[in-house]
Amino acid sequence: MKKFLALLLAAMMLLSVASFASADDVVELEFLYHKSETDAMNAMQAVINQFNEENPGIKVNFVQIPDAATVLQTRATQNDLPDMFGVTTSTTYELMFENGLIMDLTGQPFLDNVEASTLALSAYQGKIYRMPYSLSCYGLYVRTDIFEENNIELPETWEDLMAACEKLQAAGIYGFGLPDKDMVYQRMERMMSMLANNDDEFKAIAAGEMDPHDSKVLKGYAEASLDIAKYTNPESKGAGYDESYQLFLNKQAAMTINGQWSLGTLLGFDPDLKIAMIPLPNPLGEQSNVIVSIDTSFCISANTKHPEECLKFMEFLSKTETAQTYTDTEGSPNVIKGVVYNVKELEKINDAMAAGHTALSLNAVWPSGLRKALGDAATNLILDGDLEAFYADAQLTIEDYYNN
Amino acid sequence: MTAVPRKKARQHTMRREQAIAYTIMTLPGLVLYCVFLILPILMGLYYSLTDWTGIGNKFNFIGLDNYIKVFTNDKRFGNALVFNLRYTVYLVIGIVVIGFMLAMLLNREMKGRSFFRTLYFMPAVLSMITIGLVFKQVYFYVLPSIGKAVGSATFSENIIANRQLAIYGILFVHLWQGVALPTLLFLSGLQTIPVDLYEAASIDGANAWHQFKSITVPYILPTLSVVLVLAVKQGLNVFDYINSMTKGGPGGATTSISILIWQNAWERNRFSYAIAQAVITGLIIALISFVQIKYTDRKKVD
Repeated sequence: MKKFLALLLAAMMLLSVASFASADDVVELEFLYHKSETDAMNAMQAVINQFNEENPGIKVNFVQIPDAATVLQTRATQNDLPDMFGVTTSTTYELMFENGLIMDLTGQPFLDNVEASTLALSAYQGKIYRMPYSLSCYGLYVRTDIFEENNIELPETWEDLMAACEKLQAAGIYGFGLPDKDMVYQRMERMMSMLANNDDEFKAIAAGEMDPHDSKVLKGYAEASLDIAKYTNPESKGAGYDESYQLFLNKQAAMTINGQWSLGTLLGFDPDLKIAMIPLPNPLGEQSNVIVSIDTSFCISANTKHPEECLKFMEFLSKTETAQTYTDTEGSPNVIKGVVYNVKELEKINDAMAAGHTALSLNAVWPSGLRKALGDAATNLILDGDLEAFYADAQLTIEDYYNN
Repeated sequence: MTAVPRKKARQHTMRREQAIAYTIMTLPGLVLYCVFLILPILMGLYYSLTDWTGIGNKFNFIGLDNYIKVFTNDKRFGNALVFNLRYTVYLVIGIVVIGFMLAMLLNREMKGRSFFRTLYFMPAVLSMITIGLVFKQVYFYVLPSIGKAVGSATFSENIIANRQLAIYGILFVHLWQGVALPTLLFLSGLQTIPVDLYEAASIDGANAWHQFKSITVPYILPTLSVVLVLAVKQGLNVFDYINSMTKGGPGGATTSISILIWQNAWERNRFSYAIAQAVITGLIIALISFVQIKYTDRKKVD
């Protein structure tokens, strides 16, 4: 028995040595992806498989783990980043750029394949550390079937929207089903991003130079938020993303406000769903912009042992055909030149974006964590309808986040 | 003449050898303990004196600034501390009362005793996150339906979306799961009490209450002490249930210290500040545990 065990162990050791030896010829690269939605995972997997097939000398290992963003942050503390990884737009990644953890891609020829305007938005202190790839857009989802049944036009202005809500209410239908249990902060940040394209007002409030009552952003958001609350299905207060989808799917609400990333899930529940995503009307009567964020960018670790192979993978990603494959599966607007984006539910959003009616999400402009903290004030506003408490709380939070 | 001292000397060497052997045997454990527990604590203490963001190696030494800020300029920490203390008091009372009562019931001679013991222990083997997510659905779909059916306004709404009630929603789930282990501990404690003590007491005319007060309680005190330490620690560190059910909401109403620390570290990139808060929390837990062990130690049966 002992002899047999010894033999078995020896054989296993030999085998493992052999597998190391064969792995030597192939350069293995670790790729960590920041997204966890099924569509996105499948899109990335498809692209990586294609690359591995075309490049026998390189093997990109696709690491799929839950909560990759936290893992990435943890590994950044140890200066142990994967060779390549996906990132969203956030101050956290800017800290990584600043600390020299990420390779400077400025001037790489493959960046010419990226739409110039988005590339310019991705720059950090004049340098490009990430290749922007796809956008997320935020707006209003409408159940077109309910709207048609009640003879309501798709709203273009805030007044239209409120009138539509009134008509729906008269017909016994709630206007909105929203994920208000823990996602108010996101809608607040996106709506505020439409009301102002910078954080000058917040800076002024933090410096004591502006009263929150005079802030166009705070006032505009707060009043719009109360308008929306009047027509919101009360079950929204206890709803997360999934429950808000259910309210919308079960016709317990005619509209919801969310990002294009929800589309896959919604159509997954009901492929025949009659819905459209349109720009959320601007509550101040100004241009109703689609709020966009650079949702996916790709980075290379500054410490990778195989920079050339990593750059080769980036170059592969930047090809129109690759990006098309990715977009067709992942489902969000791509910023690689020549990619065709055709999702019928997002037609109006695409038209608005093509016309340049976009506003950039301010999440990465605000100090990290501000939107969650301010989101608490916004949630309380929905629960109590107390505007004064909101202004007071917002002021304290803004002072705390900007001055500390 | 020389035999006795030589024997003594031999005994002495043997004892020394034994001592060395024991020391060597404890070494691996000691090293592991130091590397994985003491060292991180010391490193944490050091980082709490810096302005480290959690990313990269650049940081400055800022002395006690983080600690000063926690006490002088952080309303959230104060709110979270109050939440945790309130939560801990409810949790400890709940765990001790329910756990002890269950243990008393399960300690009686009855049919299907093993079955009930297993049944009550079941929740303990499930993961906290799973249970949190399950109850999140219960609170959204099931409870409001029941509330509407019986005409209760309070329960017709999702209770974890209500600032005043959310704490009880979380507490209920925590107790549902958290009471299992203390029940088991109490049960084992009850079984160490010699039966003849009760017999002697009843012969002497002691009633059930006297027996409980003078026999059961003193014997159970060491167990109670352990249960209290565990419950207090759980209450002051509560994170999983909150993160899976309310994420600290609605409007920050269930933000516990752990949630706040997590937010500071991961969402706000203020690692060193989060560590300072963690150190303060650790000290509070140590202090409460110390007082409580001292107190229960004085009263227990030796």
